[in-house]
Amino acid sequence: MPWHVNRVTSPETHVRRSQCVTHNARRRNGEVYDGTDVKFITNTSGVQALKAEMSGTQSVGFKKRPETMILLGGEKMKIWRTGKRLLVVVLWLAAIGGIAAITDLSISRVASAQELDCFTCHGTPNFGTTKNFRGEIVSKTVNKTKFEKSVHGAFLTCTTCHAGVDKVPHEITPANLKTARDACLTCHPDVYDTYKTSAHGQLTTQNPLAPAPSCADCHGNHYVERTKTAAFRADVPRLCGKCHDNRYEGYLETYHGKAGVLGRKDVATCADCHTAHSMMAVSDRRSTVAMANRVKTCGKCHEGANKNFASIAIHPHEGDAKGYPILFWTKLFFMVLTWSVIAALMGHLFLNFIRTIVEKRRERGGTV
Amino acid sequence: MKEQVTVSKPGLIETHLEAGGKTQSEVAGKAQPEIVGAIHAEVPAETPSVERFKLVERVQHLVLLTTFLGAAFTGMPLKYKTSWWAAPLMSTYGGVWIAGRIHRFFAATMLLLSVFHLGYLAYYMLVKRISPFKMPLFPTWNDVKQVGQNLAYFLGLRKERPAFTKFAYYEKFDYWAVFWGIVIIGGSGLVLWFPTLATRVLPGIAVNVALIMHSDEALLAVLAIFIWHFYNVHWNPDIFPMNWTMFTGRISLARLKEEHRGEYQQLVEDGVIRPLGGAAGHGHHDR
Ligand code: HEM
Repeated sequence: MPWHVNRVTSPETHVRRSQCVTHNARRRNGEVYDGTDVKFITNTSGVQALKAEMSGTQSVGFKKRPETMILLGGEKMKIWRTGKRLLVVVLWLAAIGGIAAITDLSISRVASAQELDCFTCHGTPNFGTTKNFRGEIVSKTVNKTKFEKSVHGAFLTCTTCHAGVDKVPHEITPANLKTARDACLTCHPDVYDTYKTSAHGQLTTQNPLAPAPSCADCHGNHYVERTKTAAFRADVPRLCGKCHDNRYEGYLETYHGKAGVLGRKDVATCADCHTAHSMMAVSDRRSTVAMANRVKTCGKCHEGANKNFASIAIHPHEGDAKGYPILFWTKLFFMVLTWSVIAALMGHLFLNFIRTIVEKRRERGGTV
Repeated sequence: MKEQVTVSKPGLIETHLEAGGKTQSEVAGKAQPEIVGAIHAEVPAETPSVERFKLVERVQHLVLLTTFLGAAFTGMPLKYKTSWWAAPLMSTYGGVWIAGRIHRFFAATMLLLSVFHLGYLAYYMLVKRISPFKMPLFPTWNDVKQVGQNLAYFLGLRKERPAFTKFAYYEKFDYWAVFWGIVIIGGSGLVLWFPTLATRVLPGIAVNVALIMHSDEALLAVLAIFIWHFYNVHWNPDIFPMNWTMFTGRISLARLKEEHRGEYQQLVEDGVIRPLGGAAGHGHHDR
C-alpha cells in the first residue's frame, strides 16, 4: 500500500502515526513497521506549505517518495502543473491498481482498518452522548454502514477530521473540538473562501458560537451526502427552515413550495435564489436577491421575468396583517365568504332534509 | 296517465312563462309552440314531461361538469400538499408538472365554454332581442320573498312550497355562483398561468393575491358542489339517486308541479300542458 493522503489541521499538528493509513495497513498485514520511511510534516517547508494552504493559494500534492504525503508550497506547485505531473499520476495510479489487485487491498479496505478501531466503541448503538463545540448534546454513536456509504466514507478516516483524538481515553480539548468543526476547509478551501464572505460565514468567522450554520449544519457530519441529488435538493427548504422557519412556512404557501413538497424537482428551492455558500442580505448589493439583481435571478428559470415579476412575494405570509396587508385581507375575505356561504347552504340543506323526511312519513301515513 | 306532452321553446333563456300569458317565443315573434310527441328515452313513455333544458344547454353543463372535476382533481392536491391523498393522487397523474398541464387543459376548455356561454347570452339579447331582465335566471325581488316563504315551509310554518317559477332562488344561486366562480377562478388562474405577462401590468403582489383567490375560491366551489349541489341533485331523499333532468333535458309534470308550481300553473293556463289528475301531485316522483 503505497500512499495515502492524510490531513493536517494546523501548522503545529503532525500527522500522527496512528492516523497514518500506510502505517496501519502495514500493521494489519502483520508487518513490523517502524515508520521510518514515512515523513511527517515537521519541517519548515511543510509548515510554510500549510500556511499557504490556509490562505487558499495551493493544494495537496505528494513528493518523490510515494509513501510520503506532504503539502507542497506555491513554488513547487508550478512544477506539478507541467505535463510531467499527469504522466506521473497516471503511472502511479496504474501501480496502485496493480498492487491493490495483487495484494487484494483496496484503499477503502485500508481505511476501514483504522475505522475498526474507533467503531469498536463508537459503532455500538447508544454509546452515549457528549457535547459538541457549541455545547449541544450529541450522540457518540456513528453508524458505520451509513458512514461508509457517505461521500467521505470511502477515503476519509475518523482521525482525518478528529485529528488529535488518538488515545484512549481521548483527550478532548477545546482545540480538537474546533479542529473537527473546521475539518472541511482542508480539502474544500475554495468553498470555505466563498462561505467566509456570506452572511452565515461572516457570523461564524467572527464568533464560532454565533447562531449561524457552518458546513456540518447543512451537510451533516458523518453522513455527508452528494448535493447534486434530487433527494438533497428536495431537502434544502427543510434544512434552511430549521432556522428560517418563518421563511420556510411562507415558501410552502407558494407554488414553488407546494410543487416541491409533491415531488416536482425543478422548482426553485432556497439555494437556487440565495445561493448555497454566498448568500447575503437583501440589502447587500452583491446578493443574488438584492432588488437590483432579482430580475436576473428569477430569469434563470422564468423567461421574460420583469421588475414586477421579481417582486412577487416568494415566502409570503397571508396571516401577517402588517407585512402583507393585501394578502391578509384577501385571505380573510375569502375565508369569511367561504364559511358563511357554506354555513348558509348547509343550514338550508339541513332544514330541507328535515322537511323532506317529515313529508315522506306523512305520505306513507305515518305520524310525524 | 298516457298523455302527449307539449313543449314550447324551453331553456335557460326562453321560458314558457311570460306576464300576460304569452310565451317568450310569441313575444319574440315566433310561432305557437309546437307539439312534441317524442319523449326522451330516459323518461318512461307514460310519464308526461316537458323539456326543461335545450340540448345546447345540456352540452354546456356536461362540459362544465367535466372541466370542473378535471380542474378540481388536478388542482386540489397542490392546495392540500401534505394530506395523505395529495402525493398519491399527483403520482397517478404522472407528477406535478403533468397534473399542471392537465389542469390547464381543463381550465382552457372551461374558459372557452365561458366565452361560448357569454356568446349564447349575447345572441339572445342582441339577435333575439330578449331583455336580460326577462330571462328566467335573472334575480328578482320575488326570489327574496320566496327565500322567506321556503324557509317557513321547511319549518312547517307553511303547507306548501312557494310557487317557484322556472328557476327557484336556489337554482339561480347555483347559476350565479358558477358565474362568479369562473370570473374569480378563471381570472386568477390566468394570472398564475402567465405570471410574466400579467406582471407587465400588475404589481408582483397580484400574483400572490391570485394564488389565494384561486385556491380559496376553488375550495368554496368544490364544497358548494359536493355538499350543496350534490344534495340537491343526488342525496335529497326525494331525488336519490339522481335527478336526470340536466342530461335528458326533461322534467316530469309531477316534479314540475311540485318544485315549480308557478311554472306549472302558467303552462296549464297557457294551454301548453293539460293539468295532471289530482292524485298525481304529491309524492309522485317519476322523472
Ligand atoms: C378556469 C380556469 C383555470 C385556470 C386558468 C387555472 C389555472 C391554474 C394554475 C396556473 C394553477 C397553478 C398551479 C399549476 O401551475 O399547475 C392552478 C392551481 C390550482 N387550481 Fe386552477 N385553474 C382554473 C380552474 C380551476 C378550477 C375550476 C379549480 C377547482 C374547482 C381549480 C383549482 C385549483 C387549485 C385547488 C389549485 C392549487 C392552488 C394552490 O396552490 O393552493 N382551478 N390553477
